[in-house]
Amino acid sequence: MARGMLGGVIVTDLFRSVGLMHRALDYHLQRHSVISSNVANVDTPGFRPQELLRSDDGGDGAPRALAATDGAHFRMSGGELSGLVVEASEDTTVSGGLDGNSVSLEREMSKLAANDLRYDGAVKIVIGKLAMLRYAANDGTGG
Amino acid sequence: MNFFTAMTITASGLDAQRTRMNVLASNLANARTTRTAAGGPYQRLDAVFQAVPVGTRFGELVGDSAAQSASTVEVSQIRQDQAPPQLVYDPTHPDADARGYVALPNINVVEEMVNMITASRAYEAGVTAMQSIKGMARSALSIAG
Repeated sequence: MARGMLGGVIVTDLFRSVGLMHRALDYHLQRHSVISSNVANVDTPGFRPQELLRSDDGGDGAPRALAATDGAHFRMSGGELSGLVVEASEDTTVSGGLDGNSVSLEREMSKLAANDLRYDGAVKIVIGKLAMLRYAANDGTGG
Repeated sequence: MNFFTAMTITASGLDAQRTRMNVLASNLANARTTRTAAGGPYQRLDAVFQAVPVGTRFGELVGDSAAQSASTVEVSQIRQDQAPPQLVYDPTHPDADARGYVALPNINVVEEMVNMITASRAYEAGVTAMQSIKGMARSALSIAG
């Protein structure tokens, strides 16, 4: 009985990490839109580039910690499903030109490429997780 | 130091070279401008580059010296070249002085063209570096299969 429950926990955890990656994919997809909007407004006078911020404090300021159910577990913050808050805000690290527009096409394209790579990385992890599930579902035969 | 740091550094280089290109275009366009808002002929502009260390709190924590020494570049100022104007004898020019000399900008068009080529090549190098970094990151991702 205890063994069966343990197995249940592991399978749930497998799904939970896929759920986490779903948040990450969502974040990068939304960030792609924000960066695209910056690129689209490269010639709009007075436009300030936007950035999508991500915090793992769940909105109450306190970082979420992974549950440590054993003394040997690493203590890690973040990773809680509810802990991903995204908001668009002005990027204050850049200075404006004569028309008040502070979009740098190069920096935005670089962010776009980096975002694309991060998305790809997240997709690889999801693929790996699902492959593990499929392996388990096929009784470890890989077929 | 990760792939994204390298991309940020490269993007800053591209940004700086484009700004320099704008300055060079301004110099070429105003190679014979004798009137400016400040009075007198147009003065040659030059972009001054400055290295800005990457904000690498992580690099400092783990003692990653490569991350600590890496720097982005930014245009710290657009400097006015204080070299004297070229005096050309042209008494019919409306801006000629009492002796008939016109003060033309201190711009050598050939020099500006050469600077433009170096800016263009530096930009291309940056784009190549960016593509290379992306290729490396994709290779790293492909390790997972």
